[in-house]
Amino acid sequence: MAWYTALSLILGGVVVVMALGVPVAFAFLVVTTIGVFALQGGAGGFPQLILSIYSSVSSYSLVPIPLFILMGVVLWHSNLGQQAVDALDKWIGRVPGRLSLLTIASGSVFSALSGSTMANTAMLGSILLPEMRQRGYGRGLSMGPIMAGGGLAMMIPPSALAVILASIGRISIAKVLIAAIVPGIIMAILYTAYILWRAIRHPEEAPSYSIASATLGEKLGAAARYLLPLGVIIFSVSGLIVIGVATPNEAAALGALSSLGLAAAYRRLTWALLTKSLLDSMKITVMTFAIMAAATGFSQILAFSGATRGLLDAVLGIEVSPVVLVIGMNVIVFFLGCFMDQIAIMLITLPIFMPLVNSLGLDPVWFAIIMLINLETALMTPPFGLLLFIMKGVAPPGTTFMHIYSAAAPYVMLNILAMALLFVFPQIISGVLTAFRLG
Amino acid sequence: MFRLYDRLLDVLAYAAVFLLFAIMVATGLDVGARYFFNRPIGWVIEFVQHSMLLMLFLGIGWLTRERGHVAVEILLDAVPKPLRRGMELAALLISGATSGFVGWWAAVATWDNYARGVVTEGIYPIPRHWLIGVIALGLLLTAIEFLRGAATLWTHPDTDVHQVEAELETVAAPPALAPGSET
Repeated sequence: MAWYTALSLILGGVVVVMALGVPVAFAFLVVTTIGVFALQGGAGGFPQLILSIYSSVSSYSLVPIPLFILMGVVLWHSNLGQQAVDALDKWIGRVPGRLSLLTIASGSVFSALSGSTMANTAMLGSILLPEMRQRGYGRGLSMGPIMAGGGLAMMIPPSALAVILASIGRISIAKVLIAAIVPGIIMAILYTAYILWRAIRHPEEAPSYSIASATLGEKLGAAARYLLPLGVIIFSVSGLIVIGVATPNEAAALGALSSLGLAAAYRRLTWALLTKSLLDSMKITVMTFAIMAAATGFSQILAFSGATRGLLDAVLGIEVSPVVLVIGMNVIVFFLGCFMDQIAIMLITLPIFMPLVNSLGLDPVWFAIIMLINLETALMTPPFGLLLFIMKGVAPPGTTFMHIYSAAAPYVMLNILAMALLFVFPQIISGVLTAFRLG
Repeated sequence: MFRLYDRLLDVLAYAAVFLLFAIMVATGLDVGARYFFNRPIGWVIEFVQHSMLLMLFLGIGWLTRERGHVAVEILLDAVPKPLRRGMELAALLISGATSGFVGWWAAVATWDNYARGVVTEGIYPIPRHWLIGVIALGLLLTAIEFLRGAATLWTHPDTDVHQVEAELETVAAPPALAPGSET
């Protein structure tokens, strides 16, 4: 079989089965099972398939995934987010688009505490949307920043998706986690600039209102009580990885334990909170692991059929510059992002993209970060962006998906701008890695 | 009979939750032991590795019952209702058959590993059929759940088999808001 026939059968098969509504994990399992039968000599390949499922998730390096998710869920259920928002609120003066800026600031802080975009967006939406609506904020300055700020959890460590990306792409998890910090901050700055610009140009979308002025003492008191303790968690995750004291696994365990410790310190840690948080985290983890385990044979099938090699040779054979290829790969990811779940996209594309990136001599960490922003954007692109659905869940009755799409659109453009920046200035990534002696 | 069976799924899910907690505590203790007493706890890495696998396959049957798997629904939403129902039924049957088929091979592998006395690689080997046995159990329970879902859809055509959206709404539903947030 020619490599392109194999490739189209395998990829086409996954897409058709998924389109039918078969859950993502089982769509991969169906194609892998058929592939094993067809390519590896009938039933003789199945014991090997079971062994690859066995080794797929029994991996020590995947430990941060459930723990990063747990951190986000604990932060959310324990209501620690609310008090952090209140404390940040005291620090923001009377600026245009005040509540939208507060959303981005809170989103950035939550992102440094939580590895789950879902928990992050739900938290921001439930805390800030009621007040924004009451103050008459337009959708682009209320729902947009909530989704954009929520999505930052994917970039700023702890990020469960960054760990998954690094492990599927076989890149250093610590490097990807650390390298994503600066782009995450750049994105927050871009959102802030856009909000200011839009609020100044269209003041009716963010009506100003009188705010209770806080004294410096109150501001410092609130920061010391509600923000500083969060700093402990941020340090125990990102800080310890950055200074090289802890591996991502150890940092994840310390982060999760200190989130629970903090909830206990604020007297929020109840038996009900603990079981609910663990159950929610287990649910998201099992969903994620099921896809990873089911797809583990998938890249093997791709390789075994000769599809990966064939495509690689074909692409390297045509005289296009690496620049065009990297753009092309990201266009594919962006397109898939409109329809597909992020882990599924990684599992389909990375087995093909990573060998290509390596043979072109590009920096895999740089490529991974651009792809991470792209995948974050996928959370906001219609029709299947996860955050759009979450937004629909917290938005007031009468909000249509069209409203939500148009609220998200400017932030999608800003993410594309951030990708372009990294593309033009790869030093942003290599500089961070060198600075932390990881490069 | 299904009640007893449903309790079994619940018990397995709670075992998965317990393992998640144990992974966190064990890794935390290991870090502490290494930095403060300079004595890492040797078994932690292998314990955690096995626990990750067990968590997945102890929880997967329950997750399937709770309709927690993510699926792509773009086409389903676009087609007329009777066709949608047909596709959903097909999707449940395909998922069920595949899990059952792979689960059966996992059971075969379990028996084979048991018969040959295979142990896990590492410093603290344990019989590998224990772990592969749980893969078989999880996949077979998942198959039962998918087929159960198909049977329900067959008898009650209006069942919402894709609850991912509903699921997300539960996740996203505002929790008990703190005082002051309604203002």
